[in-house]
Amino acid sequence: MSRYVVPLVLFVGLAALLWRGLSLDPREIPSVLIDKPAPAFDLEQLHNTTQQITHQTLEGKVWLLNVWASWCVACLQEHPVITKLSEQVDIVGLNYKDERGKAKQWLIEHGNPYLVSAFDHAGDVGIEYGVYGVPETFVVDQRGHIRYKHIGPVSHEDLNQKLIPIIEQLRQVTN
Amino acid sequence: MKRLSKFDLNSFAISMSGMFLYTLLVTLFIHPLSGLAKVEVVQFDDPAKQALYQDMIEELRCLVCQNQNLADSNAELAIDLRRKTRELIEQGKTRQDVVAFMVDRYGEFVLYRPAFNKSNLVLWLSPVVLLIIALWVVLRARNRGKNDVKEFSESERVRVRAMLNQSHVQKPQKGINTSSGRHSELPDHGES
Repeated sequence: MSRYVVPLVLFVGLAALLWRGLSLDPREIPSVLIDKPAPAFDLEQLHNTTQQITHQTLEGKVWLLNVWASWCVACLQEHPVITKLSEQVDIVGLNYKDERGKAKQWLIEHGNPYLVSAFDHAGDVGIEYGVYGVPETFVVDQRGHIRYKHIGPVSHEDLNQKLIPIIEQLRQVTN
Repeated sequence: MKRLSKFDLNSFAISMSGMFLYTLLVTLFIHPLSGLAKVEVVQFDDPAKQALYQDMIEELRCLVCQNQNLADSNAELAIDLRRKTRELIEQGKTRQDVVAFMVDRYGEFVLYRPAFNKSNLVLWLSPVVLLIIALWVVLRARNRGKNDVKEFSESERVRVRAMLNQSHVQKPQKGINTSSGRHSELPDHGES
């Protein structure tokens, strides 16, 4: 009997492992920053160059950091979703490795869902946040901890099934 | 007219093979060099720092083009991470510091040689486990071959002899294939 059971178990185990592998996206690298304090930054604002924005600007609130750029095609794809989301939560833009003029123009053309955008021309803050592609979206809680990271464009489905439930849950915890 | 077109064809063939050779040479020699030339040259005053830098960019993975290290990649991110690596090393940071910096931001995946820790246990041990399983299977298969040689009991021997005798009497009449036909009727384990 065992001569049939052992290969069968091995086969089923291997098949399950490979099946799982099929549904995983190797490009999605889980963030190590989840449940850790949002990395510090102090950047010029995109529009108002004399004003800075830091990771503490929105302390005490649940807020989102959305990494975007005018050269990023997928950002345009998620733009309507981000705009819709901005009605419910404060979104800070991290304008990543962009040029100021182009970035401003992009916001004029497509609309500006951001409370404010930080201008990360060199991409250093991006490195602090472990950004390896644009767009990426971080959910930060009232204590300034990163609680969720979305990699790639946010779809309406992602919005309704992941981001909004997480934001609401975080808001309930301290209220 | 015909001769002319033939000549044209010949010269065409020659120029084509020339082009082929040219393309081949360009591909083989010039292209890889131009690829190298694109990665910016970084010079440190301290040779130890230079060596560390070279080491680090070869060991850190570019997260955009995942099968390349920082030294091989010209993705924007790879350029930025090389710059960061250079800055850290210029500040006098050690190998552990640089590795920790990258892992704290990008996770273990950034390392081509992942650390041996709890979450990587499966990764490190699975080859050993698989090897042990494979050895076990092979050894079992070999032993089975040895131990499974069954002796015939006395009564079986009598029956086999009777069968052999029978076929010995009957088969020759049928023709040429007798000897091989007779052997194949023997049970397999009797042979080994």
